Amino acid sequence: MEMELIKQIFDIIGVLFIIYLIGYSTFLFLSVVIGATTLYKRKMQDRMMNKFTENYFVPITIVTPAYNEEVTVVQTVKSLLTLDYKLYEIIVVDDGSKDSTSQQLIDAYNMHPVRRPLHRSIDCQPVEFIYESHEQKVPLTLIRKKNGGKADALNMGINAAQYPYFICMDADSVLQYDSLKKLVVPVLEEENVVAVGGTVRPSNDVELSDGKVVKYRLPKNILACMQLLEYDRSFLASRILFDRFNGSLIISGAFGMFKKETVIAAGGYDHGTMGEDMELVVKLHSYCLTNKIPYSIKYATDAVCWTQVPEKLGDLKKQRKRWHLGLFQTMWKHKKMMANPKYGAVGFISYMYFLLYELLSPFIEVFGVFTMIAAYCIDILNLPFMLLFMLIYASYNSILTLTAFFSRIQTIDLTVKPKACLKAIMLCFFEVTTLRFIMAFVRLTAFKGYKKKKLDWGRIERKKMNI
Amino acid sequence: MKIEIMIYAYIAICVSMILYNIIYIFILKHRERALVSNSKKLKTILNEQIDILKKGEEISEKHKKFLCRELDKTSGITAFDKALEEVFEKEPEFTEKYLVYTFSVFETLTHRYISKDTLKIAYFPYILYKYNILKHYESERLINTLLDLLRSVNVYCRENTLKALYGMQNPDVVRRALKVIDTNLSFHHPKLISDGLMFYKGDKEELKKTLLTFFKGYSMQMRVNILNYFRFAGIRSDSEMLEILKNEKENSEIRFSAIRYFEKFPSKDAEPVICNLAENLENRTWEYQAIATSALKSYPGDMTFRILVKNLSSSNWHIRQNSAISCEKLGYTYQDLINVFDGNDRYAREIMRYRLDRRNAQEEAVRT
Repeated sequence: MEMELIKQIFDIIGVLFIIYLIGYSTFLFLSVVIGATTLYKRKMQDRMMNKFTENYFVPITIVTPAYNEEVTVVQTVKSLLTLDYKLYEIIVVDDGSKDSTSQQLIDAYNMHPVRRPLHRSIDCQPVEFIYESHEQKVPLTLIRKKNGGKADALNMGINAAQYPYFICMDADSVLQYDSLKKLVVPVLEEENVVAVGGTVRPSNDVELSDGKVVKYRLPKNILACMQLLEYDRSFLASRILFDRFNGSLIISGAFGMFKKETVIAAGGYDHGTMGEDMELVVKLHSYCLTNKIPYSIKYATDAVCWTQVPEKLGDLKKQRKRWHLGLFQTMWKHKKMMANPKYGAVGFISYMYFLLYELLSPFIEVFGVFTMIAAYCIDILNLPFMLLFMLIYASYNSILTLTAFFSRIQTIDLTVKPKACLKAIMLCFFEVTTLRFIMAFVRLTAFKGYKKKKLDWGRIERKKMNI
Repeated sequence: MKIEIMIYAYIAICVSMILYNIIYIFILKHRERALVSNSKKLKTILNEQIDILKKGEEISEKHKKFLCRELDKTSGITAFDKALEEVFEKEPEFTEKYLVYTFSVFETLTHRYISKDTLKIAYFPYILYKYNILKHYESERLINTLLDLLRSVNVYCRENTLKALYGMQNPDVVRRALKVIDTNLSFHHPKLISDGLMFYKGDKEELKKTLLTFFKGYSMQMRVNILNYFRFAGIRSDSEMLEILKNEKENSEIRFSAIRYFEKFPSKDAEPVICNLAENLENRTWEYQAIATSALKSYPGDMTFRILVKNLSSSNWHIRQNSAISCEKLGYTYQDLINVFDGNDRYAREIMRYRLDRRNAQEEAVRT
């Protein structure tokens, strides 16, 4: 009798898992197909001269928050100065670094101190000093402030920004030479665009010169290579799909453009969250929908930012814990949006997707693994069948990941050698079957020491980039 | 649902995705090869036609029919563009002559392209613009068809068509084109109009006269775009701008554009109006004061100095900042502004000190 009950419970769990898996696989299928189709359509549009053949410059401020970035900050600014764009300024905000981040910049660009008053539209920590350089092709400003976290540093950058649009980017990233031109396209194409997200691609082992790809190859490091596949899947999958119904909830902190006026009206970046990038986008949705302001949040598939991804498991774990905490904080802060008709598709589709398949997924996945072990122990699991099912499911995920990878490669005119393709094919299976589960366990433990890490910058090891 | 069905579904999707990838790679490769081979063939044909023109003969009707067929296809028009680009580089004079002789082909195609898929529609006006094909022709039927293209939902089609129409160098066509854009429901970014008009290579004075004659028939946004274009292109229209500047009932955005115009082109007649706008808020919004304060940098004098010093103490950040920038640009020194630096207004002192320090640093950078 007891056994019957246990069996029934396992059956119910099994059915729920099947529903969950069908939900995810359908989402993945739809998003990869729609994503790939969109990329191919974009390529076709380019071929058919559906592009601006002349330059139209929307003034942009690039805000680069930096904390202990002495290794990369000079190179980052150097790459920003080579961008193929006329109307922009660069603001580096040093968030009270303990290393020589500011000094490196001051020396490299012959910057001089100024007593510049700032229009503090958004609250942030006080300024310690400001340096400027007028010897570069565009104005370069360094603001050193008291430590307050990345969101605080970004708010300072917004306060100092002179132009109507600002870009936030990480100090360890490199913008492709044409990224600004591509990023402003949605603003020129459509009315009421308040934010545009760019595509972030791992730069490990990619050779860049003046923001142009000289040599593209997959990262030698296996972990970095798997992340590349993961990035392609997530950028191609959810972001393009959500873009279809103005439902994007994330614009990567590494590269995104925002309308300053709207961000200030919405209250700027939230100091109290680790996922300030996602929080801002969710806040913009909430602000515009609540106040009935027409708006759209777009995704520019061909505006590329190259970033270093962690090559050590420890660094990756730190990063993913941070992301997961940020996700939790954002979802919790905006819980009123959950399945709320007032927020339309954003509340029903985007929010629910992030809740079920991002925030709760590590719990569900790890629970699933333990359920299988338990079922095996009490001998109610058909192991060969289960393994076959898992194998097919993993193959399915791998093939969709590869579709995302090849779509990206083909549509941005990068070439990879057959050997690299083979590497991608092998690693994507490994990523789906192994890394994914390791990351599920990692994300599960993200809440350990949550209060301590609240405003941590989440350091990972930095390397000088090939630019 | 039986679990086996799910497994079969997954397998089917896997197989179809693999096929999708392979087919797409094949299509891309084939398309690239076809473009190269087509453009090579067309280049040979175009060179033959150029040789015919060099001999003083005319382009045959047979060739025109062939061209019409080719350009009607997506693959044909892309290959033609690639081939023509190379031929144009070598033989610009005769290529232009060739385009004159084959104009009827483009006229026919314009009517055909209007019914094409929105994705494919933009290429044709791009060709018209790129090779300035409309320069020597004024067919009313063709103009009407092109104006219809401006109603497309595809922003690139509208953009390429506008440029092609600018190439006609006919002010009245531009006026009509702007009217179509203005009444169209699709959003067309103001920058694409004000910056795009810079591609008009005809008589700018004539264009100004035409646009001003019909000025009141445009929407507020289009009027701002036109005035901004005048400013960017350096087209003087002082009397009309002065009228706008003085007209208290005129729309704010249009008056802002007029203030900015008189910042670029200072005028004695505009000076008292700008001074008044910079000094007195009256029933106006703060933007008037901020923009007029900025414009004062083009009006050196005692009155300007007095207003700028006063505005340095404004409670509005933008007015204060613009005032400091104007003081900096007008070359005022610490000595000139001694009352500001000795005064009680910390905000005024700080912003002014920053601007003067900044100017010194810039001058220093130029010297070194």
